[in-house]
Amino acid sequence: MTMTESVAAQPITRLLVANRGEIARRVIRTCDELGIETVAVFSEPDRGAPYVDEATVAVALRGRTSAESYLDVEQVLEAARRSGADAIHPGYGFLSENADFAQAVTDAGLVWVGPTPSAMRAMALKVEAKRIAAAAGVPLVPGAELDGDVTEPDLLTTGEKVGYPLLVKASAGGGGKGMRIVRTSDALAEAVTGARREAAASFGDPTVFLERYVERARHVEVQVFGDSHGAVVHLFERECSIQRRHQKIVEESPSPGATGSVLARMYAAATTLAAAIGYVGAGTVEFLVAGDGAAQEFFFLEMNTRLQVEHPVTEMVTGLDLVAWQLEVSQGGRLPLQQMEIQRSGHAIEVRLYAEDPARDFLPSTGTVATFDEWCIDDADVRIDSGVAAGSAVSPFYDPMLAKVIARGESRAAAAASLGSALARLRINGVTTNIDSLIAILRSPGFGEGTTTTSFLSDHPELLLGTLVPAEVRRLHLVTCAVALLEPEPLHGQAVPMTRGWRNVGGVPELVSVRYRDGADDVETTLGRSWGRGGATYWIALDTDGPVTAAQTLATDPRFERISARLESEDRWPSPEVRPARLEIDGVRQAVGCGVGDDHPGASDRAITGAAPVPGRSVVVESHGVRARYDVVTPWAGSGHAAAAGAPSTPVPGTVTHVAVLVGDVVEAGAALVVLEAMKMEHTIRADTAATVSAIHVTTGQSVEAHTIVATLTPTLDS
Amino acid sequence: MARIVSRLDVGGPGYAASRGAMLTSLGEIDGLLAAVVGGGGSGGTNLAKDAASVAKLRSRGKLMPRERIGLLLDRGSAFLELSPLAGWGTDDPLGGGLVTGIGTISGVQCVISANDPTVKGGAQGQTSVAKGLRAMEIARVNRLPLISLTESAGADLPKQAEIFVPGGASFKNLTRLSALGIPTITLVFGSSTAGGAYVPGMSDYVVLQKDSARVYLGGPPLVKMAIDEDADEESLGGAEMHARVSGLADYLAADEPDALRIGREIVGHLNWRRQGPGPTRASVPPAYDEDELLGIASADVRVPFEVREVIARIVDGSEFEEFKPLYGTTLVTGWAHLGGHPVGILANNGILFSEEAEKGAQFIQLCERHEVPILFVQNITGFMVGTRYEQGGIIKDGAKLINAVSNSTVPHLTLMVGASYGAGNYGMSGRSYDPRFVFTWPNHRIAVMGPKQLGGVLEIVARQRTEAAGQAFDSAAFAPMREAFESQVEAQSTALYATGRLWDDGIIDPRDTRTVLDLALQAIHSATVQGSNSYGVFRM
Repeated sequence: MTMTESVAAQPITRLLVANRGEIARRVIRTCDELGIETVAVFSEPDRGAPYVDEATVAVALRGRTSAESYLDVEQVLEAARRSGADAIHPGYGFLSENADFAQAVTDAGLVWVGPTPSAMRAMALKVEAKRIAAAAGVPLVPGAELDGDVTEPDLLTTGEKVGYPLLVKASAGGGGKGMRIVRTSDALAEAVTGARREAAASFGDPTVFLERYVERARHVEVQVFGDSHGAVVHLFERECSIQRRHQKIVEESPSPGATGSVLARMYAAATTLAAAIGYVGAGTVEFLVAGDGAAQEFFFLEMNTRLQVEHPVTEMVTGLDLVAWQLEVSQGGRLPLQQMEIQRSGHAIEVRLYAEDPARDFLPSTGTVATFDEWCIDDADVRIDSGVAAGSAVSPFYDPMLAKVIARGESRAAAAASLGSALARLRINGVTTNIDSLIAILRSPGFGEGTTTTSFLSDHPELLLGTLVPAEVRRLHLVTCAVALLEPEPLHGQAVPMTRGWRNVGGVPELVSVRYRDGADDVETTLGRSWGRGGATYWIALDTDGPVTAAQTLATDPRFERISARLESEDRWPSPEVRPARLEIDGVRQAVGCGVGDDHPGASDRAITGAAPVPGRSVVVESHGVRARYDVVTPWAGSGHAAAAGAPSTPVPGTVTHVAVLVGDVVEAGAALVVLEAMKMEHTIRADTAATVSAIHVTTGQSVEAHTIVATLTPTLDS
Repeated sequence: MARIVSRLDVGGPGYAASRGAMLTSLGEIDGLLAAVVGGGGSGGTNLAKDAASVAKLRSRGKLMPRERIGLLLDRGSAFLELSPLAGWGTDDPLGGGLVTGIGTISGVQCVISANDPTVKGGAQGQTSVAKGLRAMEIARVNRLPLISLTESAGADLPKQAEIFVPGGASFKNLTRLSALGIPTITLVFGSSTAGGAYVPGMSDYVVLQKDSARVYLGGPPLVKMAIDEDADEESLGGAEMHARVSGLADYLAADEPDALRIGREIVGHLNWRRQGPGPTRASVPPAYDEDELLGIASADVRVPFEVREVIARIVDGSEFEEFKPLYGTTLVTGWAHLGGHPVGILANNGILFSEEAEKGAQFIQLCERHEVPILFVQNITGFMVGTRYEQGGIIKDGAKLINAVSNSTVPHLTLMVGASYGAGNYGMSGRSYDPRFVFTWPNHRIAVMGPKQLGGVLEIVARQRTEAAGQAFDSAAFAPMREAFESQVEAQSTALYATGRLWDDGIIDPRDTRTVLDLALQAIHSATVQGSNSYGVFRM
């Protein structure tokens, strides 16, 4: 097989980016440099996103969900017509691997920045891709196709043949969606059902297949490029072994684990495969690498027919612009360099910054990004590809990736140190992110040694909790919080500053309660301040297990420590941004960073239950290389709303995809009640006790807010 | 405006002695305040009983009144507690088992009144009633919303004769506040029964705490006696019943913090607008250290001191534009700002003569015209007596001052920094002249005249009577009687005696003077500030 379709030599003058977020900005940046005008498309929730403003022209799409907007082929083509675009770049995800869309773009007389529809089709179905790979002599992982109507006994037989542990994967999918690990045969049937449902919802195709799960393997992929003149080159490899929920979060080049001989064979296999399907444009051939040294072997996984999320890693070590290459070959041009001319130098590492909570099973976090200060990172060897800015909304409708941060260094250690330091300086507030976890990964001994397999995070679950805070640092943070929250300042815009917390009758400290994260746990504690003529006295406790309201008991409560402290800052105080300040405790002064904001959903959630007049404030404190957030909680949180407590509710906003029970059903503890899709992930809401379902409050297809009660359960009483 | 040049000798022996004596007094007061805050009602005389009362409250998960107030207030709000030592030197518990004060809730400055259930179960005695009525008066004249945190066993029955008649005014006052458009909000945490039931009954808003509030006219025993009905407390006056059946409760609170949350929300929706002008300039601290206020006034009120040294340490930037500085020099008058609010100040440097009385009357008229609140700083041993002064018309001149003070309609603040003897108390807007607030320094003395003079007058009268009867007066034999009388007058003229009887709104630490007056001025400006205008200003 060689070239089956030719690409017309057609210059691009105005390019529509059929995507959103950071990749849209990335494509626009290169177009700007090349003098190509750009067209952005945006859904309703993305109206204020940075990429929309950065494009020459922007066209609104109807709808909020991906399916209603970015996946709607007709709307995107209509936008191209209306804006006068002569080319479409699909980015990654969305329509990037949709061959029918590529065909429609070409049929509309537009340039498609991507491989030919036939090459896409060849690789799109993983089963088909493997056949071609096998024919090209590329080693494969044991696997099996599944018919839609396979019986359970047949399914189990197939499972045994593939071998456990195994993966159930969507044939049309990617990015971990619809994927499940099965370790024993008894869990196979449910996993297949769930994967089919998720695959159907995400890709419109419920076909799934089984594949051996090669544990403690490395995920290594080769970047390839082809042009319409028959040339194919590789741009070396990227290792992307560190994954969460089968989604990459750390990527680097070169691979710290693959041996030279395996790499050489992988480059050859990748280019052979690309050439075999007449590949034009950027593509990535993914492999699993197992074992070490001479015994190391590799298996073909799949080929992605698009630009990868992690392409900047390759750009950083090769000094090339992959988007520029894509544009060049899609206009019929030749690859700018031949294989021999492509050089790599140094080491680059990329991390993906997500709005999610790693310590809570990666629960997505939505809300408004209050602070996003990229300018804090002023380093030529650090690159940030971000899709958000301060004020951006993180909606539940799309992937929660906020940005990619990439650092290059002469060595792997230098790159990791530089990236860790950049992340520590990046100020982001408003949504929960995985940034602390990323820093912990980069600074962990295991990462430094390069023993990074796909099991890295399950082997080191403590890294998901971020950096553990020693008690002494925590104490310092709490003192900073107490001063920041109870410090004198004008109240309610009154022109006359009242003396903050002033009392003419003493003995009753003013209290404020805060909640902070300690690993995976939420800790609540109360801080106190006693007004004093010579300066305030603060009361600190590391944990009071909920707000303390009996203010007069602090002096005799052994949990509380009495501290005299002052906090000074050159800046206007308090500020929502983290600013340098000096904390003086009992005469000892040290530097801290402190910001006081009103913007944290964690705090306002609790505040909604009654504290409308009390700002839902939070404090971010940095010291000793540790940054932590402290949200104000009100002592009356939850009271008066007891009726809602304990009822099964949605953890995040999303769409109900399945209601598993009927009114009157008797369910065991742990039984699935409702399945919710949010952020492209399935969340199963389960019964917390054995109960009878007395009411169901949601229906399939319904969009629900977070904390929506899905059903009313009457607990089954033991007689 | 000129800055006052201080001539206070902070290195001198007089300063050190005064400061030492003041700190000793403050130490005694702090001990009393700690006893009041600690609860129980013994005033520190029976710590075991007090501790038991508090432990009982804690065992039910309940909060002390100042803890409730702390949760009700905005974070960072000041709380100016009023008359915390009311009841001192009386049969009533120290503090009267009631906490009253001014603080900010949901951005609104309010009067708060809270029963202390550890003091006789929150039962109301004479002091509690007087203190509660005073809090209502402060709410009314300054137009501040009133929040009552109620948990009271009702009337202190052994003292019912003293409180039944005056106490009834509470309910009238509540509804009159409402009629004036001043919101009244009652949060009931426990018992509020019999007459006490009319506190929620007469309030604009009522919040009852579930499983804890009890509001009924007659409890189970009384109902049994009266109509032979067996009834339980919940049916008679439970929070759920009132929320669902009687409709007395507007809100049902799950627990104490929830009740306070609801209270905050109610204040938040009052759509409250302050009617007085705001500060006219930025607040600037005084140029001199407020700490030095401790050493200005002697513990012996007969030792004179320069009142400008006090003014210099309480007004903005120590700036004072003195009016008529060369005339009637024992009364200092002039203009200043405090916390950015303009104030007219009348301050004594001792005795009042005719010139001082006329100067004061003229200055008050100017404050009326300019609608500026007046601060009276009292250190006065009375009006001058003697043939020359009587013939000079000191009664007429003193009457002008008392007339001007009595009919002045701008708000008055009265600060007692030393003596307050004789009619000078009246001419300088003493308690009976309805100043918005009266605050007292610990060294303050108040009486018809000084104890020594009273003793001397008593002896002269006795001598005259004895000698008129043709007998010889034995001065030595009379001495014990004179001494006993002098010490009785001394004891009845102290700041603690005065505050115990609510002759003031509290003894304050001199170092807090500016803060207290600032908060009081803010409270005053919740209402309009209006002067009277029946005549032009009389030049006197």
